[in-house]
Amino acid sequence: MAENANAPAQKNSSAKRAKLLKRSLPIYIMALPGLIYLFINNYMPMPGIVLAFKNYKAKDGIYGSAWAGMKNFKYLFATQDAFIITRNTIGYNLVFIIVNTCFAIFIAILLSELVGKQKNIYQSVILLPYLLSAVIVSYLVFAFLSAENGFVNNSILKPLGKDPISWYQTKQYWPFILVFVNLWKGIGYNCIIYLSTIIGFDRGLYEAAAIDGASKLQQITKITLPLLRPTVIMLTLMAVGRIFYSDFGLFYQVPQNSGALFSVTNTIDTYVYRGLLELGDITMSSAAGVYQSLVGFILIMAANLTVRRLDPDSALF
Amino acid sequence: MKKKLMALLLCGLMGVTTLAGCGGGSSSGSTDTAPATETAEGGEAEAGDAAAQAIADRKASGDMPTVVMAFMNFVGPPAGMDRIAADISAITEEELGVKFQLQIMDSASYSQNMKLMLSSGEQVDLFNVVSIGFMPCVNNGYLYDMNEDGLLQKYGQGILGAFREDELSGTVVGDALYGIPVKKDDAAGQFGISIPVEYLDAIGFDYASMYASEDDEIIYTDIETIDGILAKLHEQYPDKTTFFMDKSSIVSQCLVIDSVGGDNFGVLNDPMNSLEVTDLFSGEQYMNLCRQMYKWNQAGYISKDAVTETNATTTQIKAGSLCAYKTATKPGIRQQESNLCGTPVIIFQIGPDFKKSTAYNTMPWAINSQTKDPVAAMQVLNLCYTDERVAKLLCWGEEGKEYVYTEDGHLTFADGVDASNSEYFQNVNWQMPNQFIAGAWEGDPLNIWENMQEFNDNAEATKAMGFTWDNSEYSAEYTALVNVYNEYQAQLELGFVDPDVAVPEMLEKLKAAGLDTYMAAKQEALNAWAAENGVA
Repeated sequence: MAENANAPAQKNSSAKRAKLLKRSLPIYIMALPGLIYLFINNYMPMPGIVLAFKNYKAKDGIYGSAWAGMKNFKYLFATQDAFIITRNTIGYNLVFIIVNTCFAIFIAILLSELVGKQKNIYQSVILLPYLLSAVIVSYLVFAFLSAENGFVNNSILKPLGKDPISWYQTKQYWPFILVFVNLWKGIGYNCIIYLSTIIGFDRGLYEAAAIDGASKLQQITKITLPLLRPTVIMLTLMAVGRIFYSDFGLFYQVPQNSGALFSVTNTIDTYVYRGLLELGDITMSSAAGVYQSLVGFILIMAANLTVRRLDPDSALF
Repeated sequence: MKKKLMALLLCGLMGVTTLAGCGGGSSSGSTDTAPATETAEGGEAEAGDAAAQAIADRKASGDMPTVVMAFMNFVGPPAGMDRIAADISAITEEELGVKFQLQIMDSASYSQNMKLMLSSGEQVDLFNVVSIGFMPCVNNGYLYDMNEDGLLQKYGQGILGAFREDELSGTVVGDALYGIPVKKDDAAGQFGISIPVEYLDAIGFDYASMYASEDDEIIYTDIETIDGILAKLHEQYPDKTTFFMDKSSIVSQCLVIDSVGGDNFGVLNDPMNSLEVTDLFSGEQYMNLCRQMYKWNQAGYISKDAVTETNATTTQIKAGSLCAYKTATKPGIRQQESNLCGTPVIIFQIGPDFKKSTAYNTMPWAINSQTKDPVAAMQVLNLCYTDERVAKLLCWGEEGKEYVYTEDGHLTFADGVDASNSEYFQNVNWQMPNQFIAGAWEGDPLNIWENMQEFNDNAEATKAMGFTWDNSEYSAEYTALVNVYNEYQAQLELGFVDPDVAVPEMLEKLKAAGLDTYMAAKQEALNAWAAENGVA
């Protein structure tokens, strides 16, 4: 936008640049804390990647230790578990992306139709679970699913005359429970961006549509959803980049680390955690981290490439 | 515009990162030391000279080094930490010409913090390897070899005096000595069962006549008797959970097996007689335990939520929801469990007193491999094992402030002080170098530490005592095995699944995960160790 506005002044470019800088300086300063955080947290530790390829000895330091080649990666692929944990990690995340996006948009549209105090109350209540720690969530779930004192067994199944279920030892229910818990926990947060985008839409469009006799449903499908498309694509792309990471709290704490559920709850993060808990080998855990980031990087590049082919305007970069 | 900005931003960040990468590399100084020379022949007199000389030199130079000692407790640094450290420092300055500082961390963050401190070169000279693990410490190169230049021989004569030689063998890897064990209960009475007196009275069980002698605090019995008691308890208290075991310690506290090398994948099923590494899960002991638990579970003795239960057994007794639980036993156990349960309990024991090969290396004290002054660190550690004043300060705090003596010579809380408001009540004396010289707390017999020594000396010991194994070459197999075992462990050992079906199933998966390779490697290491140490 700035470029278009100043197009005639292009000859006087240095003065223009100074003016532009002056104008955007406050924005850069505003972004500075975030950038510093990003730098310290995400970029400064990067050289530590070499740790994944080292035979670490504290005495020699990270860079002084001997090279170990790909040895530290071996355990990630050595067994048949490798398939299960990869399937679980990617499978759950795919379902999460689809389900969470659909529900987040749905809730955002509902919220956008509300006005006044009501809306704030609903929004806060929906957001609340997101702010709970996974440990607390795991006990909330436990209150429902405990075999002996749980709400589901005692107050739902019993009155219906059904046998109680040992939830923490019956794995077929857990894919649904985990998807549901994840949705419940994250929905308030996920819908915030959609909601703020929807609120930013030009009201004139809706008024015009209403005058032309469009129903609420038609307004949603013909105006809101098409306008939301770039936002959906961007957020989905970002989620795809993290598809090889799993929410540790969700997969470790919520099933209470119950062994019987491993085949449906073991993800790459919990596998690494359980395996290395006693070994305490930082090179092996670094290897897992490198592997995850690498796959994440490839996936996000591939997804972006696909989006760029189909719809160049929506691609991230 | 948006894209240009993004690109610019990424480039900038990448550039700065590269620079940062260059800067960080040069920090590790070369601390090459001459290869260890054998000075064990030196003898005590010479050693005494070296130690005295080191102290005299230090005092003459007027430059006192500081030794930092780290360990964990369960609540984080106590309010009185710096005061106690200053008291100890007064003693070390006087005796050794060394200043002393304490670093106490809570158990949840100890391992993480220590690894960071040890890798980053932050000063910590002495630390307990508990929770970080002995072999991980060795593999990561965190530990100083105390045989190097005869460090222990020259400066740790007091430590050598406090242990039998074989007790110091558990922390030897190759030729290097990486730690000094804690003076504590080295053996454990296997498969102890603790039941509150009031429950036993309620079912009319005559426990008083079962003690072998009057001074005994433990009733030695068999599984059938316990079975009978549990059946009656279940009948009397149908709403309470009859029996529970803390799921993380079932194999280690119930079975007479030696988990050589520190894990359950390849164990000695007959540790007193044979050095054959066999598979725990197809062994008779494991099968019998699982069948017993399956039977008890089917009978309804075990809570349906047992697999996910995280409350401590003693907390459950206190809350009145549990009748009986498993514990490892040792001298003083009845008092300890009664205190924890808040009600007097009776201790039964089914297995023998047994000492595993890990007895001396679960929580030894170690010197940081990057310490600046290993001699000072060794001398301070030596003082902790030999000086009663230091031991008491470490274990109980300051006399008059935290504790006082009772008339008969016990230690007890000072006036107005209790466990909740004491500025230094750690509850981790099992981690202190030498609690045997720190006195007996009120409630324990005055001769508790003599009893403990006797218990340690008399317990049956595994043939593999002192064997350690570095499994880092097999870490891929190990992680896979741990994950398979975790899948079945709690369900099997708490009796939720039929062991005759589930054990073979688990075994098949363990084999697929490389159990045989892992066991063979362990056996090979054990054989080599046995040949070297003359164990047949």
